[in-house]
Amino acid sequence: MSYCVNCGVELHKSATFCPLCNTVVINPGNPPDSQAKTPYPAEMGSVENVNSRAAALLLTVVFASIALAALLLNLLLFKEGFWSAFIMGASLMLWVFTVPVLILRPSRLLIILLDGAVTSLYCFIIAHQTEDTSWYYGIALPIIIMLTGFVFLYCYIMRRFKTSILFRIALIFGELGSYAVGIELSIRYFLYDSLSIRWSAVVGTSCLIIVAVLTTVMKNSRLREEVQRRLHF
Amino acid sequence: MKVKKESMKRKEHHWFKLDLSANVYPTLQRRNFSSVYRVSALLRQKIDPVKLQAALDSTIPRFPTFAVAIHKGLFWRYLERNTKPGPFVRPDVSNACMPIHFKAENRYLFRVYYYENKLSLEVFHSVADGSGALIFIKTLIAEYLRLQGIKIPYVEGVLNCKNAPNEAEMEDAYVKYGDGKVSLKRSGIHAYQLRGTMEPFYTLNIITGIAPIAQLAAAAKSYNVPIGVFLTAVLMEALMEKQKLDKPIHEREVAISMPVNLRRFFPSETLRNFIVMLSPSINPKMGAYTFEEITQEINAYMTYRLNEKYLKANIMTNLLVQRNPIVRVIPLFLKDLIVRNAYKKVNKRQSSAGITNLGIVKVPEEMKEHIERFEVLMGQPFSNRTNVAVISYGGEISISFSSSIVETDIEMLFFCSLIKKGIPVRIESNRKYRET
Ligand SMILES: [Zn+2]
Repeated sequence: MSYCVNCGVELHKSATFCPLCNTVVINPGNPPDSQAKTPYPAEMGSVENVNSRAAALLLTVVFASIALAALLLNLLLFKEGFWSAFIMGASLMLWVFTVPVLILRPSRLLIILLDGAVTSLYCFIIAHQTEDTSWYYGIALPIIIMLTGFVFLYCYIMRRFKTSILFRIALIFGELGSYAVGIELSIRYFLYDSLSIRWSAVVGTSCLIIVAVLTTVMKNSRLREEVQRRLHF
Repeated sequence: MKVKKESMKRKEHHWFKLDLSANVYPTLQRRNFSSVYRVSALLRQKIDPVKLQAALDSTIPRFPTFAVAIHKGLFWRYLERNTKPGPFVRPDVSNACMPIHFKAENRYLFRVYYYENKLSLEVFHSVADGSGALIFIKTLIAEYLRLQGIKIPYVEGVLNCKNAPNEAEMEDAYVKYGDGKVSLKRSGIHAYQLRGTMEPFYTLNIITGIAPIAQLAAAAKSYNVPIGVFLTAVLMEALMEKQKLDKPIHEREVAISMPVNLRRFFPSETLRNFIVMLSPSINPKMGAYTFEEITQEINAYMTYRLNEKYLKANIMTNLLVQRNPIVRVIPLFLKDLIVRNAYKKVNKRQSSAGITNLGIVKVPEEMKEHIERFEVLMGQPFSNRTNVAVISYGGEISISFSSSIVETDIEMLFFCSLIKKGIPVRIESNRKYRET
């Protein structure tokens, strides 16, 4: 066993560093005993989550039986058209919206991608059934992809970096502005084959101004502290 | 016939009302928070899980207030006797005091862990306070040792599991002694709050310092205060130092909340909750305090309050609210809403840290050679605050810090201060090396 050179406490014989001050133990005469049992186990425990598992099972059963019932009715009784595709698609979409949230709670990023994918799929089913897929590729898909992308980007940055509240607000406005421009671009390209913007220019500029103001505030530490003090919650 | 009926009535408890302290904990329950604490005993030998399970199975019937599940009524929660199988002993985990979900783990509100020679009992605070849990773990260890063929008498808080549960151990002692007429004003201070980087979900950082009682007692004696007051003063000084290092715009009062075991003042054998909270505080705005002044301040605070009359008034503060007819008929979900908000706004910031001292553990002479040490741990704090739990046994005192933040400033200030006062400290921790 060793003593911490920095704070003078005696350390456990297995310790390779001081838990108090994070100083590494360097004791050639009496090195840390790597064979010794550590005072605490290394395995993390996790809490059993009965509630959400039961709910997930219930939702799965409900959506699956709705889809199955629709399919059977479609095949056996009301045979005009393949209308059950709408119901089965909707069930699948609602299932993806609800169940992964209950089970995969920690991996939010994956859930966002799944939701984006299943929404695109449902719109595709509708487009396929109505036999006009141009609006799907022209408007629906770009809008869904952009929305998924922006939400994903926001959550990714939240998770990956430590962010201040000002940065978050700036990010939201930045994304809103870009999203508005993106929506108008795809609508105009679909309708008139032109890549120009009008109303979204106003939205985009306002958002840009807000982002600029916030960035200035963030850069200026005195201003930032003042804002943080007034907005803290 | 009449006798038989009475004995049956005495024996069967199908449900319990939550006691005064127990009521607030489930209200604050969230997915990532519940008021769980841990009492551990380090034995001399590696623990045999099979025998431990057998010992636990024979211990539980003696403790009907532990074998319960919590349920919601329309107006209050209540504890119902739990007859489901379990709880089962399990290998220990690095993140002690995980939240207890009321519907998980067969609805039991306590857990038993083993790791090498360490046996740990984790209890949801609505079930029992530290004194009750200590009786439970002592009885459990005694049962466990008996399975190894060691004879242990039923003294010093080791209960005989062949006896029927004792009515007095199940009583709500708050009600028994809640006959006061006056209550205290609640303090409305806004205490200094530690800041730090929150650890991810379910991480509980533990740093335990072990020191010889003799040297600690000598140090406390030199300031003419009990050990508990001395340690509180060291913690207070560390918090004040930390606040100074933070360089805040406004210095705030530093307050430490500490439970007081009421069994010392009101005779009760209850194994449930019987504590009140006191919170000594020092306002650094009044000037620079020396360590001696801090000890005297805290000692004076405690001496003034640690008497039957003051403590009864303290009990009445919460008891009168619970007895208020309007409060009683408010539906549970509204109560939860109100209490949770009040807690977030007021209670949470009333103290900068918590300290609890379970005192010196006494065990039967025959058990002494088989137990090395006791440890106690407060669970995940609701906020950033640091919680300290102290317990003494066999010439050693163990002081455990639990926190959910990365920084160790308070722990370091605290233990370095002990070292400077000439008290040697040995450190054990579950913290991981921080790459810098
Ligand atoms: Zn150190």
